[in-house]
This record gives sequence, C-alpha cells and structure tokens, in this order.
Amino acid sequence: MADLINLTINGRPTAVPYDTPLLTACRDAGVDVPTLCHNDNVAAYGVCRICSVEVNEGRKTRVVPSCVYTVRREIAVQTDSPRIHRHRAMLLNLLLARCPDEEPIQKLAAQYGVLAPHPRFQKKNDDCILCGLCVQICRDIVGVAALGFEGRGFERRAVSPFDAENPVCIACGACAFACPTQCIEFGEAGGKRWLKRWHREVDMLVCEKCGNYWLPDALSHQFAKRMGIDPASLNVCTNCR
Amino acid sequence: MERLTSFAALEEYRGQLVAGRDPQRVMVAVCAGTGCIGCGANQVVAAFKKELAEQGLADKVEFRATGCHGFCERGTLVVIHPQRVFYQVVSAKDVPEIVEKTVKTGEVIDRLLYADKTDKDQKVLHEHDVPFYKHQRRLIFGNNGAIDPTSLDDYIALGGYAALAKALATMQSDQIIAEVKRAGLRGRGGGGFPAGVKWESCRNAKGSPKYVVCNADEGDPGAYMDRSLLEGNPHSVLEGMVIGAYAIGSNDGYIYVRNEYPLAVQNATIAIDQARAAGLLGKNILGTDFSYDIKISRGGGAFVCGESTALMASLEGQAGEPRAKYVHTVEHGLYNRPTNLNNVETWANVPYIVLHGADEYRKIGTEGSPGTKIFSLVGKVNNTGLIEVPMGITLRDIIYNIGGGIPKEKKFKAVQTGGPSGGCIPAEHLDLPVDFDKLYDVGSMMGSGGMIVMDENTCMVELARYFTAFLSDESCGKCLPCREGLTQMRGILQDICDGKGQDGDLDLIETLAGTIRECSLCALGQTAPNPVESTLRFFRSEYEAHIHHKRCPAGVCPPLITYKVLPDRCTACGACKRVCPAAAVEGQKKVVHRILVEKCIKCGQCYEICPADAIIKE
Repeated sequence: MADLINLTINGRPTAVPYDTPLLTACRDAGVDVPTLCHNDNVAAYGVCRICSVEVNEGRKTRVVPSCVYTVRREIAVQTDSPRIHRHRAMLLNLLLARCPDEEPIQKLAAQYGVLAPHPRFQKKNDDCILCGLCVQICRDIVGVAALGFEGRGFERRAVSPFDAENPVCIACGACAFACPTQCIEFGEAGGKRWLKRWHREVDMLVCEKCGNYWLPDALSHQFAKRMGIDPASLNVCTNCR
Repeated sequence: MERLTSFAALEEYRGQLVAGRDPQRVMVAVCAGTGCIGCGANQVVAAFKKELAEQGLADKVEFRATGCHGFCERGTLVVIHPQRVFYQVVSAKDVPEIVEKTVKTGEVIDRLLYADKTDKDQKVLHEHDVPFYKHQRRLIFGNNGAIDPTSLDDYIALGGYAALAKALATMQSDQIIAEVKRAGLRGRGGGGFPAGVKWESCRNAKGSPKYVVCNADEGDPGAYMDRSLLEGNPHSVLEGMVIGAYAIGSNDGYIYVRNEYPLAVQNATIAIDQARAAGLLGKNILGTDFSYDIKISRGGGAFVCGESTALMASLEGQAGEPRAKYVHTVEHGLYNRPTNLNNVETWANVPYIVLHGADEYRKIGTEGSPGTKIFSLVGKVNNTGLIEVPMGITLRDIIYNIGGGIPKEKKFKAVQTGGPSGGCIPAEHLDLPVDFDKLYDVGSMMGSGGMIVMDENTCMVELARYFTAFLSDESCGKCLPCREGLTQMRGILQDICDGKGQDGDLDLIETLAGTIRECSLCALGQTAPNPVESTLRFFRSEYEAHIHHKRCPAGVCPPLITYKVLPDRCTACGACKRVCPAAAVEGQKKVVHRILVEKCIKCGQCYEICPADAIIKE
C-alpha cells in the first residue's frame, strides 16, 4: 500500500494514496463535484472544465480540473467556493450558448443560476458538447477507433473520418449510450441498424431458427475475430441456441 | 573530414584550422538570412562569387554567405572584414563596385554606409558603431555574422564544440546540471522555467529511454529569433543539446521544427550530418562511450504545437493537442518517457555557460534573469530586426537607442511583448527593465521574444480584437473555455470595433477573461486573455469611447470614423479625387473638394495621398 497523502476537502481532513485523481478523492469523501466529460471507464480527458476546483498547494491557490489533477502532496481543496461558482457559471453559460436546447446542460446551468445564455453570446445551436466520450469509448473500450475529431477551435467536431461512412464502425452503439447529451441518434428497423451522425448503416443478422434480427452483421464479424469463435456460430440468436 | 575520436583530435583540428586562417585577410560576409534573401541576398551572393572569380580574387579573398545579422530593415547587409566596414541596402548591381574599391583597395563607398534617419550626413563606417548594434550584447547571436552556417569548420575555428569537449572530458553530469542551475538559465521559449531544474528532474525521473528535444516550432506572428539561430548557427544548438543529453542521460533526441522554415530545416539537417560524420554526434561522441543522436521532425504548422505536450503528441504522430501537465513531461513526456524539452535559444545558451562558467554568465543580465535575450523588434519602429540584449535593459533603450524611435516622429503608444498572447505595455512603463518577472508584473510576458511597437495611430481595441481572433483561430478546440470563450470574446470585441458595443460589455469581457485564464487546459488559453486584459488595464478609455461615444480615438475602426476635407487647407489639386475607388470625392479645379459620406468606403487612400494634409479622420 502506497503512502497516504493528507488533504482537506472543504475544510474536512481526509487521506488518499499518492497520485489519486482529485475527483476520486472528492467523491470518496462524499463531496459531489459536477462533471460533463467524465466517465470512470476511460482515462480522464479534462476538457469540459466543469469539475474545476480550487487547490491550495501551500503558497498560492489555483484552479485545477479535479479529474486530471492527481494528489501528490498535502493540499487544501475548495470545491464550491465563490470563485469556482463564478467559473462554473461562466463555463455553463458558454456551453449553453453552444447547445441551448440540451436538457442536461440546462439543468446543470440552472443549478448555477444560469437560465439562458448571455444575450451578448452568439448561439451555435449545436447538440454536441465535444466531451469526446464517443471517440474515447470507441477507441479504448470497444477497441475499434472508428471516430475522431476534425477541425480546430470553434470548428472542431467529433466525426467519422472525412465525415463519411466508416466501414470499421461495428454499429455497436456504445458511443450513443455514452453521450451525455444523447446527440448520437441510434435506431433499428427493417433489418437495418443505423447511427445517423456517423452516416453508418449496417445490415442485421437474421437468426436461422427464429427468423428475428438479432445482431449487426459488422459486429458479429468483430465478435468472431476478437473472441476466436466460428462466425457461423453467431447465425443463431441466443434465445434459440 | 575525418572522424574526431578524442578531445585532443578536436583541439588539433581546431589548431590546424586557425593556423590556416589569416585574421588580416579580407573577408566578405553577406547576410543570407531569410530577411535578406527577401531583399535579394541570393543575387548579391551570386554576384560576389562571379565578380571575385572574374577578378581572380577567389583565392585571396574569403567569402561567406552567413546567417542573419539581425538588421533586417536595411538588407541586404554586407560586412567587409577585417575592418568590419558595414554596407547596407546592397543590391547585386553594387557588387562590382564593392569588389573594385573596398575589397581591392579598402576604399569606402559612402552611399552604401549607414546613416541615421535623423541625421543623414552622419555616416557610420563600422558595423559595431551602428547604433542598432552598439547597444546590443550579442552573446548567442554574434557568431551568426561570422560563420557560414553550412560549414562545421567555421564553427570549430571560432571555438565550437569546445564546451562539449570540456563537459565530456572534465565534468560529471551532476556538475553540468549544477553549473546550469547556478547560471540561472531560464527557458527562453516563454515560460521562463529554470533549465537546470528541469534537467535535474528529467535526470532523476524513472524510465528509459529519455529524450532530449529542441522546440523550434516558433509560431508567433512577426517573431523569428529561433528561426534565425537555427538557420545561421545550427551547430551551437546541436552542441547545447548534446551537452544537455549527456547531463540528463539521454541517447535520443529530436528537433521539432516548423515546415514553414525550409532554410532552418535544411541547415539543421546539414549540421546534423556533419556533426555525425565528425564524431560530434551519434555513436561514441569524441571517442567516449557517450552516444546521442538527433532526428529532425517537421511540424505541420499549428501554433499550438509550440506547447510542449502538443508538440510531443505531434512528434508521436498524433493530432497536435495539448494534455494536462500536472504530471510533468520530464516524467511522462514523449512516448510517455522522461523528456526534456527546451527551445532553440535556450540550447544555444548552454555552450557559453559550460565553457565560461556560471559566474561569468551571471555577470550579464539581472539577478532573477541572467544572460541575454533575443527579441524580434518589429512594428512602428525605425530599425526593425533581431536584437540581442542583456536582460534588465529598459524598453526605452530597446525602442529608442536600438530601434531608433518611432517613424515619422509619431508618438509611442505601447509595445506588445511575448507574441500574440502577450500584453501591451504603455509609455508610462517605458523605463521598465525587461526580464521574465518584470514583464509578468505589468500583465505581459517574455514569451519567446516578440516585441511589437505601436504608435499613436494604433487602435488598442482593434489590436485586442486582432490577437483574440488569431488565438481563437489557433485554439485546438479541445477544452471548453478556450474554444467557446475566445470565440465569444472575439465576437464582442468585433461588435465594439463596429460601433455595436453595449453597456456592460467590459464587465462581461473581464469575467470571461478570468474564466479563460484560470480554467483553460494549456498555456495558449491561459495566456490568451493577456491582450484584452492589458489593453483594458492601460487603455480603458479607448474601449469606453468606442462603446459609449461610438468613436475610435486612434482613427482606425472604419465604422466609427468619417473622412472630412478641411476647406481652408485644400488646394484643390484633385489627388484625392483621382485615387478614390468609390467616386466619393466631389470637386473640380480651383474648387475645394468634398467627401460624400454616403459613398465613402473609408479605405483611407485620400487621407494617405493628400499633399496638403487637408483630409482628417473624425
């Protein structure tokens, strides 16, 4: 067991192992810190900055995103100081200008007293907050890496390469489930499954016994390859096996 | 040349070179840096080669096409040694005369000499007496004018690689680190982090291999210090890197250089090949068991790739996006291995420190920022170019003594230091000593050394808008505050410049700037509010004039100005009418002219051309 590092969170002392992400330390101590781009199952990406907290490392106090900051020495943390409150309100204000109609953003913004984007901000009316979870989960959990980013700055977008259908995509839908604003439309009908945002449409495999659609064709190939099983064994659905 | 396999062999080779070179021999040095090439230096070089050959002087006179001398305003520059006669604005047609007179007989050609703009008759004969050079301290940059950057011999003859030999032969790695720490060398790329401390952390970090990397991704508009060093004296950078690698314990390194710097790429490539062949780089350097090699990696041109973590991502072949640095790159850098990154100028300082010692180095500069700094002095200043000055010199000395003041006797308004995300420093701080900490105290920064001078005709709101627009274009878009915040900030500033500013805009800008500064992921976002915040601090009244009175005091923002003819001054010459592209000038011979406001597109051409100064901006 590594040495424990002492810290205080909102004045209450606690201790965590060296290099523990501050967000984990806060949550373990029962202190809620809001996040938008965080998912415990992938490496912290640190882009929404909503989880920013105030950290005093001895000499001066600075603002750090708690998801990527790790505890390496004694610190004093404030998770909801007026300064943090002000920053979160501004970040959510900016996000609301980008995505005015997304409910999770509206809800969180309201908690910080932001009911509408500042009238001086231009509205983008986008539905994606660029948290990057779809890209990360596709690459690091599904292991397919069918998605990426294009453009930079304000023009940045999460896309399939060249914003066209990517045959690598297995239409598993993990991206759609991970998306905090549910902006990745995912549907199934008439023997097809589609992910509109990625221009992806795949055929569904029909169970040889019951005749029901049960698995995207592309996904079955990936299953067979990754698990080393006979592709033909996936021609029968789990109910009929 | 033969591979040098011992320290003695290097010294012997240097001895041979020096013995074979007569210091009294005539030597013609033509600046062939990028600035002078733009002024026709390549033609001047060709003309000299041709002329010297035709006159049968090729063996008697030494000729060198060197790197940048710095005084780019007056290119092409030619210096005739040993007297160091300094010719400026030389073109190819001047060359036969220079060879005939100065090279052959030492006769000076008066018209090519430098004269100050204020006193045209006061000619200056020698390079070191030109005011632009006289007030400089060219510790790192000085050899640029003396060597052919593609010649290893030139570098060695001037004492090159002696510091490396000294380090390898007589110093332990911790001694070198201690010396660099004691010298107080701070990173010249912008952050000003103590280089020795960084080296030590990298040396102590667990993991191998370790990488020692040079950042030559200089992307600030108008800045070209690193470019000129790498183009003009690449071996000094390599020597610094090899010493650093020895101290840190690294065997692999990279120079990450912008692809837009073709000459820097070319000269660095040549230098690496030469050093490798001479046994100064690669396996068993100078016969020791220390090996270190360097590869060149060319950047794709994104400004953000000058940031260390983005640079390393780009080196790995990933998109050039930064990541959080709470765990430093000296522990987890390139390929997640301990990596020491310093910029070109920092590396070029290392040989001097090792050779002359920390005490000697500390004699230059200030207590907190020892040494010199190279700046690119550009904008509304008479002598634009690259300057190297001791830290602690005042802005006034730089702008008036070296820079020769503001053109057309206009009033100085502000100087922006530190590149696009630096702050603007007004006249009241002209006597500020320039070093890392003092610039930070007034809301600006050293950055990599850009220095843009502005006169009274610069609108500070427009300036803030311009730099905010640059930075929002160059933002990678990864983190929210930089991506969304800078775009919104740019929109509001654009509105203010367009006369659509509203009450409360300044408060909103200040709050927004605070969030961008404190919450952004990398230094690009964290420093991006500098232009806005510093101009708000020092020139708030200009913002207020734009917002509340719909007036641009500097007369720059087109929607807020009107051009008017002063009837008592107008001579009815018709120049304005002829030049106007919008047919917005009314008038005939002997009748005072008038500008039709509804037709005027505010291009300002009439204002520029009027010989009687009869047109004003309101």
